[in-house]
Amino acid sequence: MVTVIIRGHEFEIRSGMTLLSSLVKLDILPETVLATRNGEMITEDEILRDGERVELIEVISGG
Amino acid sequence: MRQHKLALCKHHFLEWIPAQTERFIKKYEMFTRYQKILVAVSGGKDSLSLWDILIKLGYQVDGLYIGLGIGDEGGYSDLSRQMCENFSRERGQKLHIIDIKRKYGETLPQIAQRTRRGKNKACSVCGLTKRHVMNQVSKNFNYDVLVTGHNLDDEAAVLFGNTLHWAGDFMIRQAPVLPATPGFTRKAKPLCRFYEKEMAAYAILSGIEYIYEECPYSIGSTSIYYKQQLNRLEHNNPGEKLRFYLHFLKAKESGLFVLPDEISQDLHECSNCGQPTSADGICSFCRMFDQIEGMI
Repeated sequence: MVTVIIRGHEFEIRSGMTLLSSLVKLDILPETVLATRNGEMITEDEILRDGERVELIEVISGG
Repeated sequence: MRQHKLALCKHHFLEWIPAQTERFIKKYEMFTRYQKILVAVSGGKDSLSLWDILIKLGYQVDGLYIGLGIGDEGGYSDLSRQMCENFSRERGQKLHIIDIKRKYGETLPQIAQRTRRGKNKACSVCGLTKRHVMNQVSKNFNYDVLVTGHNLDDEAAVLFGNTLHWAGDFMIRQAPVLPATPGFTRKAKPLCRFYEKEMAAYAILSGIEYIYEECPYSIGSTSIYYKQQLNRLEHNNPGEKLRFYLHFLKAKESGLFVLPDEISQDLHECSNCGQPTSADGICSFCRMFDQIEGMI
């Protein structure tokens, strides 16, 4: 499983999918987040492997 | 970047953003390297990235931070100020700091609570206050241009709202550059064609420390709702946000709206602060404080 973290909330998702598919599965618009793995930014076509932790950074702000 | 059909590595992305910014500055004739520029910074990713880019491009640019007093001690405003101070200190840049409470006696939430304008709408008071202070500082220190970090998502969301409400008078004024008029400094938005996601990526990849926490008053705001709706369109049709904004600019240029020189506004000096106003007597900003004094 892959752990996806957004604003402190953790979600478990099946491994082997791309980041893009994982976000869609979690009902998160890819346009609204950036993803990092081990502190490095990753692109939407990266495959997420078992045991990985991916942190999402929300990019949309108000004002 | 699906909207550009472009994929860049970190190194080239960090070159591409400043190069594109320079292209937009020239395309919209925003300013030159001979002019004095004031960038309004909030501690967020967009404004600090813009400051960083303009420094890298060799422009004469100083920062302006407006302390609104949002949150408790160590809260939102304190954190955002810290980000701006750290940024300016690390890069040896000048930062003007205007603290609203120190200058006007009350924090922005306190002003909002006491005034008719601010009742349940702190953002309205915030916008009015920031516009007033930004113009005042740029005039007092003789800056030629005032720049803000509005990105494409900001611009598209404003346009979306104005289109839904057919707010033609606001649409006429929405542009990458607002020329100087008597009493008002020239304004420019060099990031107006970058996606919000691109700016966040630039900030993170450049190692710019910015405030990630959202302003508590923006939670549930209409602008965020509009951004979400536009991102849904973007997801199904990459490039939609950019086309929406660029086609609007093109339509405006080709005469869809009244030409700017046909707009006549009867402006005069506010009898209290001296800034231009269309209202009789004092301007909306000074009237806000008049109301407060009247209630004490």
